[in-house]
Amino acid sequence: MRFLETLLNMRKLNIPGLVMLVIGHCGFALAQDVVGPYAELVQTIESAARPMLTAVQRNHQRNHFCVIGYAEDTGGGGEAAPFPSYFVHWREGRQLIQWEGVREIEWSHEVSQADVLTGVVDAGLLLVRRRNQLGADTVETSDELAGSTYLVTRTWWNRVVEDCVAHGSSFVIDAFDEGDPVGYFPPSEFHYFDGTARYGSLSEGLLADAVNTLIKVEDRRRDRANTFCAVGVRYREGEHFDRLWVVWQEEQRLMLWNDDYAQGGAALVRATLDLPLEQSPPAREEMMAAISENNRFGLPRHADPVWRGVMVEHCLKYGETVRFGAR
Amino acid sequence: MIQLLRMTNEPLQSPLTLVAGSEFRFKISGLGPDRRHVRLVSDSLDVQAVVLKADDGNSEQTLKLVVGQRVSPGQTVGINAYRASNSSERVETTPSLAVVLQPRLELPNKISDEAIVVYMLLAENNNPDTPGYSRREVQEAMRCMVSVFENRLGFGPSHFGGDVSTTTVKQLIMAKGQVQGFERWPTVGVGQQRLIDELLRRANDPSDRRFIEHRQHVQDALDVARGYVTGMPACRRTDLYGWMTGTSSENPGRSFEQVTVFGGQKFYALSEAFQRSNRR
Repeated sequence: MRFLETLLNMRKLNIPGLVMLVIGHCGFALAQDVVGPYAELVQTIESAARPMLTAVQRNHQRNHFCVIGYAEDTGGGGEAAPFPSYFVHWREGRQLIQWEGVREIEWSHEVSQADVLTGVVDAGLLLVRRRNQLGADTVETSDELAGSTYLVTRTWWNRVVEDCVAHGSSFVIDAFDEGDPVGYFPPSEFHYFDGTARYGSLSEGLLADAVNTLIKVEDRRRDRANTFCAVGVRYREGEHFDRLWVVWQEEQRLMLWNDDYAQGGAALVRATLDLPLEQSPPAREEMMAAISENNRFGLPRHADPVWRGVMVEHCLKYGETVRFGAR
Repeated sequence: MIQLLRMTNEPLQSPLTLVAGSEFRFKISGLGPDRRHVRLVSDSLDVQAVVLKADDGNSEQTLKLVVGQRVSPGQTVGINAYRASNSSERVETTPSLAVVLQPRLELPNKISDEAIVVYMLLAENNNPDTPGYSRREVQEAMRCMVSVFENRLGFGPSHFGGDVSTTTVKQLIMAKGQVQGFERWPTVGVGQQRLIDELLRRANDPSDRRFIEHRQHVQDALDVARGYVTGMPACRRTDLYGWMTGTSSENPGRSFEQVTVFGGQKFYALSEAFQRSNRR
């Protein structure tokens, strides 16, 4: 009978939900409806996990995450639209973190532990209202909850993790240190995405297309010579691709290639970041405007004018420089 | 037509609210009748317009408004444009900008009784960055949280992590395992303090996208903690005794029954059976 009642009360009936329900009555899973898919969400959460790992200084190790969502009955009385509850299980931190969406914040010394000024990061896993660490924020029996606003039983905690393993999406973040790249390379050494295409060089290929498109769009720059430098940055050994920076010398601009494959030849017109090489940090709004909607990686060091100067030096030393004549 | 623009190129609307001690960057697109950049002049020493970048070969100039440290709340300052070549001639094609000044929002000193409630409300509630945020719901949720502790004091603190010596809301908030990050008040948990700091920073940063909403949010927490919000909150009728931060969780104990969900929290009452057998 209880089985039937639960079945009728389910707000959204789907196959994983039914599976969950059956398993739940075998004593393994939560009697709630698992929602998905998570593909897009996982990408967003992964970009939020990096600033969190850096902030708690756990970025020098491999970290495992899993995302699980539950449909929620808002219980009436609420005017806000129902929003599924998502939990992120961070295995190494032994934490269940409630995900409540992207929170863009200004990156600071306190957060980064690095010598940076300002930047914008996704703090969706850092500025959270609810974070349950196994042990510290769990109890053995429901009698020990005593009206707590955050404690959960170890059983409940484990059930969410089990749900995640069975029905959620997992991802791994390898050790990283964005502050210390393993190398700078000319763009011709960089594979583009899956290795089937290459950036090419400033003279030919996708990169040349993007630079020519940029000059064409900024029409008034066509009647004079323009000098560009391009350099690829690799943060981890063995990676084909990480980031490509382009310096426009006459304009004193430093641009980050928009790695959204859909941009193609417009990858510099719609650069992920377009920073002036002046010796003062840009205002927060300028940073916000410079970061494209398509790329939520905060890249905090880019706000530092000293860092920008160093990047130009690396470009001239390790990258490729080409001067384009007036058209 | 000369336009005042935010750094994001959106039109800058008048009036603009700025906070004491803050700076605000913006742009002017277009030149004056003398083909030179117009000069902005404030009618008060409390706000100064400073040119950051102006090249007559480029029709766009970048400026910032710098606000003094001490301002009168609600004071309005006019910013008008004048010809560069004649400082007494107004450029009427440039819209005037009214700037409304407000003091910095500050949280109460932690020594005060209200401080722990304000900090707790900010750490526990949805904020303008949360999907589905509703100011009305969150304001109501804040009042219900205060009611929860008052109800607990009335029913008997020993059922909620307190003991016979527990007589105040502050002691109940600090009770072991009750509100995350508040057991060691006036020290607040690292995660909670980080969130509160960010909310306060945004409430005082006019360039923030949701500056006004964040300001209202912090002000709501201050008002609720100080009892300035009048009228009967909906939760009074249902005698709430608990909540769970966030919307997905188990009940906070076998004696609790879920009553409602709003403002990003699940609220709970005590079961009738528990009330009957334990009411003092």
